[in-house]
Amino acid sequence: MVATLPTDAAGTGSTASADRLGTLFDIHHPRLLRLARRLSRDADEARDLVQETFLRAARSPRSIPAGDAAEAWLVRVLVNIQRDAWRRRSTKKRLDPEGEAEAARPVAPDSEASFVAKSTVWRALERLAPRRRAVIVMYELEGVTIPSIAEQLGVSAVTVRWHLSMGRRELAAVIKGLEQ
Amino acid sequence: MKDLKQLLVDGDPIAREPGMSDADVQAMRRTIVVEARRQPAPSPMSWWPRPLALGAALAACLVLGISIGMRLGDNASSIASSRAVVPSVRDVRRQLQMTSPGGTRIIWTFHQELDL
Repeated sequence: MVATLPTDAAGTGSTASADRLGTLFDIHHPRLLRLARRLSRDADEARDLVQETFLRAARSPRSIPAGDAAEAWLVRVLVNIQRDAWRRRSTKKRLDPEGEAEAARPVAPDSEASFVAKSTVWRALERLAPRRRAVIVMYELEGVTIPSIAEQLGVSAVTVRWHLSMGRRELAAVIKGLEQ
Repeated sequence: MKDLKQLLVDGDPIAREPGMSDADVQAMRRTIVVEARRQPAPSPMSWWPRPLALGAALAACLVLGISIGMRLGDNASSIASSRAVVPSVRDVRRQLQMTSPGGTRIIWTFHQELDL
């Protein structure tokens, strides 16, 4: 959920960096919200993810690179936050097998076939590691090129291709299972 | 892999969810800006503590190394001098005296270089 702080809570910090962050938010929040939603289970989680990304930027303004690299930096932070959350959830699932069963429950059998297919693919997408999921989402849905994904995630193009290949293979296995 | 892409597009939550309202976006923006203002402004002198600390640590290591080296040197010379003061066993003249049954006394004096 979005937490709102009163404006008068502002201390005597750097106004310049606050202004810069406000500008960065205005420019990049639509794209980050879309990406976060596609990497999250629901809208609330996506909002928290975006807010946490910008809060981290607010806490270390000197880390944010200048110019176009700022967007890549924000995307990288967002994906890393999601990775941390995913790891925590994975640990929790290992400790709580009932939660795992709940997450893996099949879609209701009386659903429409196309809805079943779509939701199953997205559910399978949820099970991918965040970086792999980010690669799939950025390439397949956002149309970002492989070199650009590599730059934004701070990995090599070879790694992006590998994640893309492995992710597609995992999702194709899910689709194949649906067709049978 | 067109099927996969099509399924992803069809099931994209962005297409079927309303998204954040302007009020929510502005609330999030305020939260972030307030957090940024809370952070202490970077001091213009904030660049120097790191190299200064590094230099101080190096100087401390150097002084420590020199003092330890000097102490070890003193100890070594004192040990050497103490060794010089203590008379060597080799300096002691050794004799072996025997008396034969006939009353003849035999005295052997060993050369100091001779190890027995």
